[in-house]
Amino acid sequence: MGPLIPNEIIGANWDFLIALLVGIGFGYILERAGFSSSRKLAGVFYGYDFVVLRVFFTAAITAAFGLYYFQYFEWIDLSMIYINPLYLTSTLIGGVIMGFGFIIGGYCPGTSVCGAMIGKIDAMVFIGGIFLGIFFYGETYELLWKKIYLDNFLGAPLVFDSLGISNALFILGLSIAALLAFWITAQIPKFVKRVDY
Amino acid sequence: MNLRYTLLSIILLILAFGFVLLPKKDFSKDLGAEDMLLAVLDDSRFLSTDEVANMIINQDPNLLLIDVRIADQFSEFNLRGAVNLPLDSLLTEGADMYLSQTAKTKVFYSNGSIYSSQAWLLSKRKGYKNVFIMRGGLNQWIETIMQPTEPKPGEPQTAFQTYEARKGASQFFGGGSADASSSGAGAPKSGSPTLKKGKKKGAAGGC
Repeated sequence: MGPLIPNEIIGANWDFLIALLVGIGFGYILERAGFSSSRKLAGVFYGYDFVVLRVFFTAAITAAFGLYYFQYFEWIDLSMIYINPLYLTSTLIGGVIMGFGFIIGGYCPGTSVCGAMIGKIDAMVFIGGIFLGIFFYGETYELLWKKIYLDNFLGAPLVFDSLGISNALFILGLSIAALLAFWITAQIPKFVKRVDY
Repeated sequence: MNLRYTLLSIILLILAFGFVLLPKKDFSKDLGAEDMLLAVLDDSRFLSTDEVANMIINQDPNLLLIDVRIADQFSEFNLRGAVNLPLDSLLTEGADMYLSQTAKTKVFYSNGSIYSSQAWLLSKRKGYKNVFIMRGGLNQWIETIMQPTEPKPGEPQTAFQTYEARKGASQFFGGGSADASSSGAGAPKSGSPTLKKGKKKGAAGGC
């Protein structure tokens, strides 16, 4: 049956409306989870708040269960789902930059928009920085970055294929890892100096 | 620990173990051996050069000609509107873009029929729909469309009709039998189709 648009069950113009609804839902959840506060987001790096880790880990596992159970019931054809290609070098470099940006700025790109919408000035500055970065990168891509960006292209590998195990086993492992992470991170704040924010 | 968290954790574990215990299913869309055999026996995968010529001249929007020869040969001569997907690149992502368009009539051609047949087998096995082979390939194309031979007197009327149509097509593609001094093979850049549309078939043979 799914995906709905490539299988022409609904028209392609619906994607804008769906994107709008998903976007509103995403923003609402981020705001309700407190992600519009940079102190809360940075808390995961200083050890006083692990909501970020819990929310994103839960989201990943929910999506994995959703997709694979849907595939099992043949509600979705996973071979038609686009998977981001893996350029190893740029992924590693980008991950490090993103991590530092997260610690220093206290936002990730999505949450910064959330913060800006409720009037957080640091979030607005963060968004300005994003656009400056995009502009700089875009203008110098051919000159400086193209080679690094395209280095170590690995196609679109799936982690359980690379490990040589079944997807079910991997998801089971991920679920157990998540529960352990939830439990451990619930203990850490007890040992860390409390921060009020 | 909070009761709600415990319950949610248990649900998560049930879902995870449940997924491990579910019997395996094969989701690959590759054609099985039996279906493949049936498909090979079915002759409808072939399109004649006349049919292909007709589709090109009528600018059939669904036609997608795929040249499976190497790039050098492709740049030397190709059919109008064809894309070049050499046989060894047929299963790459770039080729998938063309082959996965189910609405298009995808016609493989090579110099003969061998490479195009291999391409057809690969793509059929991969599960692509609506794939065909131009029977006889470009050799047949030159023989029938570019340089059609006039049927001898006494041959059935349909042979003459086909010849007329081919002569028109040949003129359209700039082949040998055109009266005008059009140059060599290769599709002309412009020019209106001069194909004499196949006459409506009368009752063949007698009253």
